[in-house]
Amino acid sequence: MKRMVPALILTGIWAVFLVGLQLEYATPVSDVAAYYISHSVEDTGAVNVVAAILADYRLYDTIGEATVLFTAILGVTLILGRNHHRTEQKIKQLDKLYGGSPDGDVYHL
Amino acid sequence: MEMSIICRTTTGFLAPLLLVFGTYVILAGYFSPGGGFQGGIILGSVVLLLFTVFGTREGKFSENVASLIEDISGLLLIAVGVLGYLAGNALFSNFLVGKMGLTAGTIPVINVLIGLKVGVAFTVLFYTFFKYLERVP
Repeated sequence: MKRMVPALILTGIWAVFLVGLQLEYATPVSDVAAYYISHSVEDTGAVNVVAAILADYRLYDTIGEATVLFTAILGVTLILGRNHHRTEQKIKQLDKLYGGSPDGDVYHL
Repeated sequence: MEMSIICRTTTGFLAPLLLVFGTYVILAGYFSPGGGFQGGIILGSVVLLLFTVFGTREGKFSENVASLIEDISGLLLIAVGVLGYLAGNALFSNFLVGKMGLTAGTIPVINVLIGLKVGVAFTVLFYTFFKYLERVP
C-alpha cells in the first residue's frame, strides 16, 4: 500500500500535465494528409490509403523501420547468439586440455 | 522441449491456416486492410508457435538460410527504390503505376519484400531466444 501512494501521486501529476497541455489532434497541422486522402488512388493505384502512404509516399520511413528491425536482430544475435555457445565450448576444451584449476574454476577467455 | 499431444495436434491443424492467412494479408495489403508488416508479424508468430510447441531441435531450421532471406529481401527493397530513381523519377518513387498489369505499381512488391523481411526477422529473433533458453549450462 505504501508503494501505491507515490505511483498514484505521479499518475495524478501526469494526468494534470496532460490535461494542461490541451492537445488538439482534430485539426491537421499540414495539408499533406488531405492531399494523401484525395490523391492517393490516382497517384499510386492502391485503394488502401495506409498501404499507399507506407509503401509509396513514405517508403523511405518504411525502409528505416526495416533497418530498426535489422539492428534489433544484430544486437540480439551479438549478445545471445552462437558466440555464446562457442565460448562455452572453448572453455570446455580448455578445461579438458589443462584439467581445470584445483578449485573447480573455469578458464575465462 | 515438447508440449502435449493436444498442443501438437492443434498446432498442426492451425499452422497451415495461419500461414495462408499471413500470406493473404501480405498479398491483399494494397486493396484491403493489412500490409507487409502485419502479414509478416503473422508469419513470424506462426513460427513462434511451432518453436514453442515442437521445440527448436526437432525441425530442420537453418539460421543461416533465414538470415540470408532477410538480407536479400532488405537489399531488394532498397534495389526497388533505386530502380525508381533509375527510371527517371525521384528516389523510392513508384515507377510502375498502371504498367505491366500492376495497378498499384511497386506497392505489392514492396509489401511482399517487407513481409518476408519482418517474418524472417522475428523468426531469427525467436530462434535466438529459444537457443539461449535451451543452452547447456
